[in-house]
Amino acid sequence: MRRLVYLLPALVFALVAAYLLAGLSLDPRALPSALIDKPAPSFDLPALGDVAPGLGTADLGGEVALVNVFASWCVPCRAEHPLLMRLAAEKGVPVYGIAHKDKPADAMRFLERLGNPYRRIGVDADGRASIEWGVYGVPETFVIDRAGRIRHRHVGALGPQDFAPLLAIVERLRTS
Amino acid sequence: MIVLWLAAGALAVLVALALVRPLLARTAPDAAARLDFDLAIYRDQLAELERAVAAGEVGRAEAEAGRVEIERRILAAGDRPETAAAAGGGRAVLAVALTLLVPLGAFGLYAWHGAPSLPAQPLAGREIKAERDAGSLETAIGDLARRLQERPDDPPGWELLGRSLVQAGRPGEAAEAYRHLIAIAGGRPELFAALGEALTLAADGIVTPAAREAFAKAPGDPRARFFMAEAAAQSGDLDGALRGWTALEADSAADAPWRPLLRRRIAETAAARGVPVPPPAAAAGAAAGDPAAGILRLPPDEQARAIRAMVEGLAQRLEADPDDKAGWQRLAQAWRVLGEHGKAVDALTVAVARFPDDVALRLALGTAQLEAAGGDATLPTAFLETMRAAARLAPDHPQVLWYLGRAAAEGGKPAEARRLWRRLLDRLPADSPARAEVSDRLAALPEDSSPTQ
Repeated sequence: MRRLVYLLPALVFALVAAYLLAGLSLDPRALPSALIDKPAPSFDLPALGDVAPGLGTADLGGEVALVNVFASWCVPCRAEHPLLMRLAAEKGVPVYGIAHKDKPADAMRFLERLGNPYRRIGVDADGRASIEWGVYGVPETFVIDRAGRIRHRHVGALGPQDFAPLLAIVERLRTS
Repeated sequence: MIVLWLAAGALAVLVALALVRPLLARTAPDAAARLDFDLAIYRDQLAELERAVAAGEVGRAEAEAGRVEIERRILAAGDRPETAAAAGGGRAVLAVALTLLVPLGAFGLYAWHGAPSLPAQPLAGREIKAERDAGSLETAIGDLARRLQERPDDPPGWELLGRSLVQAGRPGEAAEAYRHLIAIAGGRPELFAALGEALTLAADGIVTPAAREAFAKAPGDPRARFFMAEAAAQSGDLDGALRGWTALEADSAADAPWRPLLRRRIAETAAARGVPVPPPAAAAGAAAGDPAAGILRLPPDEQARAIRAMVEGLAQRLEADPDDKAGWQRLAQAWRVLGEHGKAVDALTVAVARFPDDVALRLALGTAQLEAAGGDATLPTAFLETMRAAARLAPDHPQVLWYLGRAAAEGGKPAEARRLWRRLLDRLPADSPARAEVSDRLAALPEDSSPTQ
């Protein structure tokens, strides 16, 4: 009986290892958002210089739109940026930005260099609004319907192959 | 290789021994010795008890209880060798299992994760080569930038600077160099393509709006076409990207260096789009554009090798066909980038003999001669001959006027120097930063008894 006590650490290790191993094969993007189909959280963020007006709950709704959480220090944000540019310029999708924990000067330089797809930008200097949105990493993109509800959430950078599905969601919400 | 396996084998044996030794050491003789030891102690305890009773220190009843307890322990000790022997059987199995498991496990892990074909990397050779390469490129860039600060009106110099900066991984500065070059030399399509590429590299491979604007000004250039398709892919227009790349592939020569890259991007994009990969298009008749574009995207060591192979190929081709003037200029430029200034001088000397009336070739030869001499602190005789020959063709070229003026000033002919530099001042644009230096040197010339106007 006493021998079994010595096996206990090994047993605990095996349990933890099995648990973590199973976690490795899970897709974090697949985690559902608790906010899906709920109204967008209430927030009100100041503008980024004179680049674009600020962003708050009152600005959402009325029109199907994207809310994109970005930061100049985030490399995947750069990769998805041309996609947002095209959605805004060619498909007429209103794109709103939340500058997550970013220095305004850096965010402005980022937009000057890569172009500004955002109709409105809220500066979320301390990341509090992002917490309200349930964001756990930049970039993240939400689709907001005409009633101001969150209808879709994309965690991580939008890749080229995400363009068509995302546009399809927007089109569907526009006609429904 | 053999050494590795011997070392690994020896280590496995050592580890197995270390694990197995304590298991095998606890054998029967060991247990017997321990039993003897225990019994000796109990015998001593009995003797001690007898002594205490005899001395009247312990009562009869207590002494009896103590004796019974000691005898009980003696009996218990007598039972133990059997259990130890029983466990010995299990230990032997464990020992055998460990001896097998250690080497087999090690071999299995190595087969799974090891890379036996990896070449050796002796510490001495690892960093020095990369450092030396980077160092010489950095010094060359520093020298070139300083020279261009003094004489900014040198389009080939700026082009070389832009190219070298891209190679040195400083694309942001390269973009500045190309912008300046376009401002002074006008916008050739390939310069806009180079600017766009530098801007793209500076944005970590994202084709920025500014880069797009530059590429739009180089519509036929293969590099521009490649990046415009890349821009389409990045903005989610996978079909547009595929169209652009397959069209470019169809227009590219069979040996165009960017073909493998195109193929890879086409395959990746088709996979992302979920469509079958379009088959490679038939090669076009003639190669178009700048083969250096593909090389820029290779890793650095391959890049150096590819550039060298390309340059040597070009040199051989020019030996067979020396009438290709642009080819000679490209060859000399390439040798300069590689730091082989002597070879640049050789190539340009041949070219000048072939095209004696070409001013640009002579000026390029002069620049190469100065670089081969390590700067223009003292002007080499061969260089001055080149400048005089260039002066016969283009007597008013700023570079010619400046250096012949310096030769005159240093050769004790201030009047001649004054005449040349005044002409130079007349020809320099009002905002040229070189004016100040020329004026300073003019003022510093000693007075002459018979000044010529």
